[in-house]
This record gives sequence, structure tokens and C-alpha cells, in this order.
Amino acid sequence: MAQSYPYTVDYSGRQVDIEMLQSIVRPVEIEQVTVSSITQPAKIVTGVQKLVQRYALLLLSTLETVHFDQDQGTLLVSNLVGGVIQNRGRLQSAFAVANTSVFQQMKKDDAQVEVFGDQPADEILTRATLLDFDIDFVDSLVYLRIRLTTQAGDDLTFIVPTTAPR
Amino acid sequence: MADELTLADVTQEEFDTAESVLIDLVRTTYPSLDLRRGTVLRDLLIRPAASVTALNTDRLEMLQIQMSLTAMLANEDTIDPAAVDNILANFGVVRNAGAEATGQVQVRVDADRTYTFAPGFQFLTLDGLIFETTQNYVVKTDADPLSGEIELFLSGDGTYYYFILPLTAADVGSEYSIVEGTALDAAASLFGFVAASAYADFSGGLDEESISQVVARLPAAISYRALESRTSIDAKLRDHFEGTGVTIQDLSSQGYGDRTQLRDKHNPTGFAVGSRVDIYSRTFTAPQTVLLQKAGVRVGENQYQFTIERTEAPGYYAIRSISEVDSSINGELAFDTLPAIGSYAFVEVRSADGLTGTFHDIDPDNSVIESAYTVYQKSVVTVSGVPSAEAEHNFKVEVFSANGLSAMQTYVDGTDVRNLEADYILRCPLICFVGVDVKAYYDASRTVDAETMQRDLYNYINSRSFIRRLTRSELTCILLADGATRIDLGASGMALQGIVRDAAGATHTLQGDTLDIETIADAKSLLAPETVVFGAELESIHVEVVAE
Repeated sequence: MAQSYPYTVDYSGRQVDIEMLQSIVRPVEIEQVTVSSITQPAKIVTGVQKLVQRYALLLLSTLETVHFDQDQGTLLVSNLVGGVIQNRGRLQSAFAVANTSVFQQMKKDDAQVEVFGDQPADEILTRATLLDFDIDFVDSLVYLRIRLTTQAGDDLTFIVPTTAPR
Repeated sequence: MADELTLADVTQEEFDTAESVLIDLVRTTYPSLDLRRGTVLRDLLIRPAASVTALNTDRLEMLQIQMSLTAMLANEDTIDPAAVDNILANFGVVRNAGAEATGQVQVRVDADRTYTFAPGFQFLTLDGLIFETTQNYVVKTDADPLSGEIELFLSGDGTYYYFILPLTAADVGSEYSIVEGTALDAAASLFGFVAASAYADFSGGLDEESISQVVARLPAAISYRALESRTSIDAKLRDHFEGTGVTIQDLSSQGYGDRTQLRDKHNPTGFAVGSRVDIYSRTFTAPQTVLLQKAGVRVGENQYQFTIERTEAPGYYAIRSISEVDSSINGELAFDTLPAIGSYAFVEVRSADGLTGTFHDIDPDNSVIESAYTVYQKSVVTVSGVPSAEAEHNFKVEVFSANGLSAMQTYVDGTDVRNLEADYILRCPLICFVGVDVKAYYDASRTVDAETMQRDLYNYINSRSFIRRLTRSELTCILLADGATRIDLGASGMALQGIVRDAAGATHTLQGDTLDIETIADAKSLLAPETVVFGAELESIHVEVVAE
């Protein structure tokens, strides 16, 4: 379950994004990830929540699957579903590579201040740490528990549910 | 067409540009939207919109190109020909779609039997050019020509049989204008087949008109359509004969005040009265031949005589060769006489014919010249040196001729076409047959292609019409462009020669640095730059490449 640390932030005038994941009720099961539907009013996100969403989207996108943006994403998911990651050690290694790639991709746009505007400190990622992880070979599930640290010093831990080969 | 472009045609560069523009536009109006990579807005809003924007930009560019012939000319390699045709349709102009070459092949077979060909029976050259029959043909020794059957002949030495089969190229293009003697093979099984070769040069093969060519002729094509000025005569004839198989390469109209217009001075004082127009029409690129089979009557020892009627080769310019019916001549005109090497010697006497009942003004006292190269000329040909004592002997006769002269004469004679106060006569232009012998030097570290040089010279010479001169320097430029480093212009390096037959029957030879028609001009024999075109057969151009 996501954890948060209460603090006071002024979100007025912030750049916003649409919320990708409407809710993660029980993050350890595949079916419980629901994507925004056109039947539901779109929710917007900003601040650290927007950062988490952006990080997750880039981490879970697969390289060379986005038309006209072949460099977007990582090989983490494709390695998982492809059965390349056979043990916990390989998972740590794959995450480290993917995490580095996500940082690079985020920095590419973040550096273009004249195009995309300034970023508040709580939207600038400084570190992503894999706190806990597990591979459930019986149910073909992978658990990743990641801590994101922003320039403002806030931490938000979130859980990324994904499938592995059964 | 523009609407046939899809997202698959959008390049990464075009997408990146469109995406950048969209981000700027959206951020200007909605600065609160975060459009960085990895955001949902970027994925769901910007990226699809950028794809469509890039596609629409492509389509707009294509549309802009297709709205202008000049723009299409700049993109000639990629443009859809249908787009060109659409613009030309606005001016009532149709692009030439090209034409298939036609000709005859001599097919040799091993026995006397009946051979049947269905339409589409194919013959192939070694280069893979395909020619085919276009109708049913039955070949046998007792053929009935009136029913379209083809006669099977026994060869002179009795070792094989042969027949002459008409063929048409399977596709349009000038490369199908194969020369006499070119070997062909039957594509399908033909029982008893021995060999086949082009009986005479194939003609009529024409490349599809390029955009640059159609742009060049557009001013004439959209000009006032009446037989009045040079431009309008050119336009009206080109327009009418477009797509008919008669391809007008160049025209020269000689009328009031022109020195080679003799027909408007038929009065005691000899002053010009106008209303007479002689139209010299180049309807061929390279000199084109018509093949005749003539039966000569013996008139003396080894001498035979026959008549080339005015309808057999209308307005023909000169006889290329006279030979045995089963022979092939790869003649080379260069540097010698006008008949090809290998031809029987002959004398031709031309005269006017068929003028009775026409309104054309031709002076009976000067009819040989005034009817020369028109559809109103005929000739009696006496062939000598024939090793035969038969009372009648068959000959294969090749004459240089302008295709479509009869059809053009009939057209301009129409009272709904011609100016009722004028008298138009079509003439085959006088052809200055050019021979070139050149030694081209090139850098040994690079490669040059003598065949390309030969072909480029051939194309250039055959594009020169109704101009005063052809010079060695013009040809040198072509060779240098083809990779030659220098051309030997000394006495033994580059030789240039031309032969012209005037309307009186005299031949004139030009040679040296310049083939200047003006130096031999004789208006009374219709010989002037305005009536002469330059032409060359491929065999008359010799290019020797020397590495240094």
C-alpha cells in the first residue's frame, strides 16, 4: 500500500497531468489496476503524485513499442514477461538499468525549461530506491516496492504490480 | 495522390517537428498542462495529434506540389503521373503516354509446314525485350495474302525456310526500337524454329513523355489553335496527332518571305504572293526506315527496275538500302555514301504524282523539287549489279521516311482545319546523316562507359532539328560530362561528317569542326537550315575510350 508523509504544499498554478491509474485498491493482484475510463470524469494530478505517475509510466513502458518515440520506456517489463529474469539477483540488476534509463529520459525534457517551464522541487526526482521485491513463480507475479525521493525531500513509496510468465 | 499518404509515410523527423510545434502551441494557450515525456497528456494528447499533424503537413506539401507543374518538375522522380495529367487536363492537353515499337522479324524454320501464331506469341531479345504478335497469323507456302496469311519462303541456298512476321513491343519505350539484325528467340515452343532476327529497324517506340518535356511544349499546346503562325501550326498538329502513333518531334513551317518557299512565286515576275506553307515535320527521333518488298523487272544485264509508288512510302527521304529479300544489312552510313554499305547500286528518278484533282500549287516545270519529300512524289528505281537473270527479281528495299506524313497531309487538307486561303504541304525534312568517330581519353583511376557515350551522342544528334550547325565542341561537352578527361581533336582524334540529299537529288558532304548547313544552302533545292534536321544511326557513332 502506498505510503505518504503529510506536509503542506501549495498546488496553485502547478502544471497538471491526467491521472493514469484511477486507483490501486489491492496492488498485489493484476486485475486491480484500472485505467481511467471515458465514462469516468478525468482526474488530474500534480506534485509528487504526478511525478510518481510519470516515473511509473516510463518504467513500465517497453522500449521500441511507442510509435515515433522508440526510445521511450525500458526493457524491465519485456524482460519480466519474457522469462529473462530467473532470480532475485537478475531482478535487481534489471531494475537498476531500467531506473537509470528512466532518469535519463526524464532529465531530457526537464532540461528544456524554455519549452516545458520550471518544475517545483517536489516534482524533480533525485533518487529511486528499490526497497523490496519478490518473484512469485507459482502465481507468476512480481512485486516491486520503490521509494522515490524528490528534491523537496519527500518520499512516496508505491507498488508496481506486473505479471511474470506462469 | 495527396490523400493516399498514410501515417506510414510520416518520417521521424517530420513527426518530431510537428510534435515540437504542437507542444509550443498548446503550452502557449494552456501553460498549466504538463507535456513532458512520460506524462499521460503527452502520450494521449500530443503524440497522436503530432502524428496527424505531420501527416497533414505531408499531404499539404504534396497538394502544393501537385498544384504546380514547376513544383512537380522539381520532384519528377517521385510525383504521381496522374497528378500531372490532372493539371494538363485544365489546359486540354494530354501527356504522351508513349508508344510501342513495331517492326518485322525474319523467322527461320527447318521445314515446309503450316505455322500458326495466336495473338500474344512472344519473341525475346538477348536483353530481355519482349515483342509479340497482335493478331492471328497463319504461315504457309501457298499463303493467300488477301486473307492475311503470310508466305513461307525457301532460302536462296535452299537450306532453310523463312517468313516475315509483324511484331509489336510488349511495352512502350524507345529501347524497343531494335536495329536490323538483332537476334530474337521464341519465348514459347515453336516447332521447327531455327532462329529469328529483326528484318529491319523497329520503329515507333516512344518513351512516356516526361514532365519536363510536357512543360516545354505547354506554350505551344495552349496557344491559339489554327494553321496561322508557326507556333499555332505546331500546336494544332501536335494536339491532333497526340496519342495517334504519329509523334511530332519538331516542325518547321516555311511560308511567305521564307527563302525555301518556292510555291508562292508562280508568276511571271517571280514575286512571292504568300498563302503557301511547306511544313517540314520531324516525326522520328533517329532516322526511321520503312521496309518494302519490291519485284523488279529485268531491264538489262543484271539490271532491274521497279517503282516506289507515292502511297508505299509517302514522302520518303532517301533509300537506305536495296538488297536480297532474305538478307540483313547492318549498314553504316558514316563517312561514305548515303546508301548503306552492302546495298546494291541503284539510280532513282523521282517525279510528281497524284496532283491531279488537288488544289496544291506545284509548278509542273519544277515538280520534282516542289513535290520532293511530299506524299505527291514517286520514283522509278533502277538497280544494277544483281547476280540474276530472272525476268523478275524480288528486292528488300529500306527507305528513310517520316511516319504519318499522309495522315498529316490529309488533316491539313481538311476544309474544317485549313485556312481556306492557304495551301499547306507536308514534307519529310531533309536529313543530314551524321557520322562521328571519336577517341575519348579518361583517367585510368576512374571508369567510363563507351556505350553510354555513344548513346548520349546519338540522343543529342537526333534531337537537333532545323538549326544551322552541329559542332564538335557540342559533342565534346557531352563526352566530358560522361567522364572523359579530354578529347583528341586532332586529325586522327575526332572526325565529324554529315551527308545531306537535296530536293534535286544531289548529295552534299560536310565535315570538319562544324557541320554548317548554311555553307551548302541552296534554297532552290530546298536545302537550308530551316529544312534540315540532324540524324544519326547508332552504328554511325564510334567512340573509342583510352585510359591515361
